Amino acid sequence: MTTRWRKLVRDVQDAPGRLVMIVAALAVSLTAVVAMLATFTVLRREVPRSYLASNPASARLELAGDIPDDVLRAVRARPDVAMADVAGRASAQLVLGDGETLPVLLFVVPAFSANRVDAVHAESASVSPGDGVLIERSALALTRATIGDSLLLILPTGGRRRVRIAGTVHDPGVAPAWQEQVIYAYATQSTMQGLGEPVALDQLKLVARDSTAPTALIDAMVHDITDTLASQGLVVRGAQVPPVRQHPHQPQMNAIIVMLLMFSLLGMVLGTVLTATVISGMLAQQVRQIAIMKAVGARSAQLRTMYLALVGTLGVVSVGIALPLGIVAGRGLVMVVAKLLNLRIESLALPWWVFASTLLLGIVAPMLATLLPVQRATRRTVREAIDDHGARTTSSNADWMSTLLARLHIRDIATTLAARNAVRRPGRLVMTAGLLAGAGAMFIASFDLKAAWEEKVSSAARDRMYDLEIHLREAVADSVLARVSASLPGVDAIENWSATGAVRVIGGDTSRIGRVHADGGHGALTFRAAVPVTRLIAHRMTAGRWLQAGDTNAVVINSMATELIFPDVTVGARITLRVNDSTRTFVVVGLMAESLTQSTAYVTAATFGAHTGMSSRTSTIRVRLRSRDREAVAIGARRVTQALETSAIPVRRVVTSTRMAAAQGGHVYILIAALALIAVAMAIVGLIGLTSALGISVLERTREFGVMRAIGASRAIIVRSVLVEGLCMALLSLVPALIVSRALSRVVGGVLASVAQQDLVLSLSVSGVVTWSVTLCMAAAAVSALPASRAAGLTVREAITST
Amino acid sequence: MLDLQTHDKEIHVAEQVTTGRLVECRGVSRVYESGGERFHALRAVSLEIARSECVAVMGRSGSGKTTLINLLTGIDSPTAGEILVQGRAVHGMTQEELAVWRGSTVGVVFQFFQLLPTLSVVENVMLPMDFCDAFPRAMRHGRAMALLERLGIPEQAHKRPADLSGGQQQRAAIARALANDPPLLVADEPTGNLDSSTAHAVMGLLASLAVDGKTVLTVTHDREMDRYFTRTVALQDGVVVSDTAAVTALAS
Repeated sequence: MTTRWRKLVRDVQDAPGRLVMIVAALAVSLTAVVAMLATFTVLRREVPRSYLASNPASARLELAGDIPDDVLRAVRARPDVAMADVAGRASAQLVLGDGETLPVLLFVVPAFSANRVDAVHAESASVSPGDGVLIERSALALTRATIGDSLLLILPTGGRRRVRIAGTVHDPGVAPAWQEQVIYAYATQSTMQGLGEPVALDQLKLVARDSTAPTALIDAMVHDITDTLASQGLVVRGAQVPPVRQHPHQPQMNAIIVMLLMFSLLGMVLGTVLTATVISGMLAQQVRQIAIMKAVGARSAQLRTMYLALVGTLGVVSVGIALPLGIVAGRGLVMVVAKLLNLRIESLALPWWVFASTLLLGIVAPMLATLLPVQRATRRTVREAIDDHGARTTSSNADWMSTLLARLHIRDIATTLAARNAVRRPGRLVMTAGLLAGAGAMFIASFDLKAAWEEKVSSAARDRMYDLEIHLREAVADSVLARVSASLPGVDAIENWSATGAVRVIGGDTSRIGRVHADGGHGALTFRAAVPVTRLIAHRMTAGRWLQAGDTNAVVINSMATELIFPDVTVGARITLRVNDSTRTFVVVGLMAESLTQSTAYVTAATFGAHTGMSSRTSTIRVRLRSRDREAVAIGARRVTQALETSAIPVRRVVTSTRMAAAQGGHVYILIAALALIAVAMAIVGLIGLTSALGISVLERTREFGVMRAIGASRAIIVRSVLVEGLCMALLSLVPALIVSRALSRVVGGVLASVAQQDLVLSLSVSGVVTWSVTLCMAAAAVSALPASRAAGLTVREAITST
Repeated sequence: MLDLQTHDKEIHVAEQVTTGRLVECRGVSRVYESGGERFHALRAVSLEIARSECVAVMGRSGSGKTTLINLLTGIDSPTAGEILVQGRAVHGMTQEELAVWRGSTVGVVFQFFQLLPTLSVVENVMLPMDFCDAFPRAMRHGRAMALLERLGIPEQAHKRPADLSGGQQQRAAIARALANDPPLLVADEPTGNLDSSTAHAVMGLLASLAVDGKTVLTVTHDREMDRYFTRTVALQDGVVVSDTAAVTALAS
């Protein structure tokens, strides 16, 4: 090793702290970037792979009864159909040990071995359930049972039967059961027959031959098949063509990951800028050494190579730390997202360009960022460098700031010195404050989002003034229900909120095609009876009015329906809906803000009855209990169900407010938590920046401290001066942090709103601002303590003779 | 057509070499501007220094001594005038050219030694050879040790500068200045930070280097050191007020 490289190595050995800070800052920010890149690439590859491996249906046709074998064979023989299967679906209830019930969605197929469309993957040993059922893997925990146990089910016709869990399967086409609070169960037709509950295999599922065929082409295929079936005397009640080859959550997932990636890159930029600052500080400290080296023959290019090689080496070390950490973190995040989307990850392998990007960001970017300060320092003339005594103002900006501070007439000399010193190097101040402001903005924005989401959940709970939604097995006459209601125990109010599915019809379309995904939820529209003068929901109108008793063809649509299904519709517009085989046109009389509720079109009970053939009858009731706490609701659900069944009104499903809250609840928090984690990473980078800036400042002011001590300044004044300088820098970052956090909240809030398909009301989180301010001040004091004690520990001689 | 200017320069270089002149300043001025005011550090100074001369530049603080040697070493550049060393126009060189030139032609000794603190003494001496690629790598350590031995501090070779006394550090700085075997050695107040006996030892050392063929130019304000120099140039307010070489020439 030649002497000049030995010098560099010794510089590192003599002052490792600063370089450790650089490595820490780069490694922290790079870890976040690698984690996000890894998550992004793996999910982009695995989500479609996992989803498409199940051969998701391009279209599902719903017929009026069992589909004959010859019809299935004919459909399979079509050149535009790659595969076709029949299936059935039924609703049941699971009775838990404490008497609570959970809805069960039963998917029925002729035989699992022959089922190719919307195929499920066996997770446990057996895919032949025999006399038992298979449970979706995410639902097993909800059943509170294990494989081999028996579940007590209330079957579609009301019979109670014990059914064995034969095994678990993974169904990538459904959302996780814990999110939806629904048990997904899979059974063969023979199992259902064995239970005495045959289910009609009335769904025809198709996969188009052309896997890239656009929706319009699949619609045309569906129309053609519908016509053919109709000519054979079969009734097609409706069809669903979901977005082609797209997981229901794919767009939202992409939005989340891209957003997190952007924030990570922002962190990386800050880490790189910090590197440039710290290296600038190091160069400032070595300015005389550079001059001496030039005086003894060093060329600028030789010195430039030395310092850039140092930065490159630090980058290599950072990459060495960040790459494995980032990959581990990324894999963890992938598994969390896979759990959220209910997907199976086959491979966590990363493409080569992730590694290449990491090297580029970790090594080349810091070198590029430091090129300018290195060039500036090594190009200075020997005389300029020798005459540089460190503590000096460098720009007119610093002059006017110092003048401004002078006018403030601060009495305390330590505070005056600290404040002036903080603004002495405006470039460094802007960078340090910028780093802290970036971290603060993200921290405050994550608090804003958390508050906005919590407000959304609270608002949903406030608007929902009922505790139970009870789906009856069969519609009952309103008069019967009214009589029974009076005797229901603990009930404060009860209203008819019957519901059924609907499809929007645009123009002269008669195909009955909807856009609902295989899980039956995403893309669905609920057509619901509403009570004009209700005590059970708070209807907040964003336009128009709520329903009135005399309305006959009036409809009110809620926020999610407006957003997803009727984006072009305003009050007064006419919309056409297909409900239970009939098509009707309604006038939109109001748009309603309804938090965390799926797309719904509300009509009066009379209108609902007229269009569904359920006049003066009710299929769903909402119940408000007198006692509304969690335990009372659980007890109330059992008592009301029992009372209804005793009155010969069998119940198909009971959804408690507790379950609704759980379904609406927390899975968006993963995004907020990820944001907060990135904010913490940025805060670490920011505080490293502050530590570094103060360290450099103390070094530059060493002689000044010596002079101060020589003319009588106590150690306390020196310590206070450095501490106040650190606090000044930290406090100066608060205003830009607040300003940037507003923009950040809006951008991230927009993504979150799109992910959750909800409008979010974002406002400045006071608790976020207070938490950040207190944390920042405490951290600033903590990181200032070391350079402060170092400055105070210098003797006058050490300080004066310092080079 | 013959380029007269180039022709003149060629004649001048030939003259310098044949007459033994190493350094020549012609009408050199340096003006600094500070706070809107102009300060004349040097005013039209002309000076010639021959090979093997041991020259003291003397004068009060602010007389222009340090400015003069900064200009001669290319550390600073003149506002007007010309500086030629070994026939090369120092005033016209770029910073990169100056670095290379300095490495081979001038050894600089600073008042505060300016040894690099993280390198050992011998490494400090090897550094100019490394930057200028002056000697084969395998020879550098041996040469550095030989220089330290000549300057009387071989046993300090592997110590850090901070572990040495002021006199030892200045000897190490002189060894570093000699590393690339430059013809010209320039020292700015080399004894300013040393006690009297060490100062005399260092000055004796510099004088002996001149005897060995080096041209030594030293800034000092200490009249007691007169005896070590073959010539004394006195500056006052940026102007040469006396030059013993001129007196000698006049006497002869």
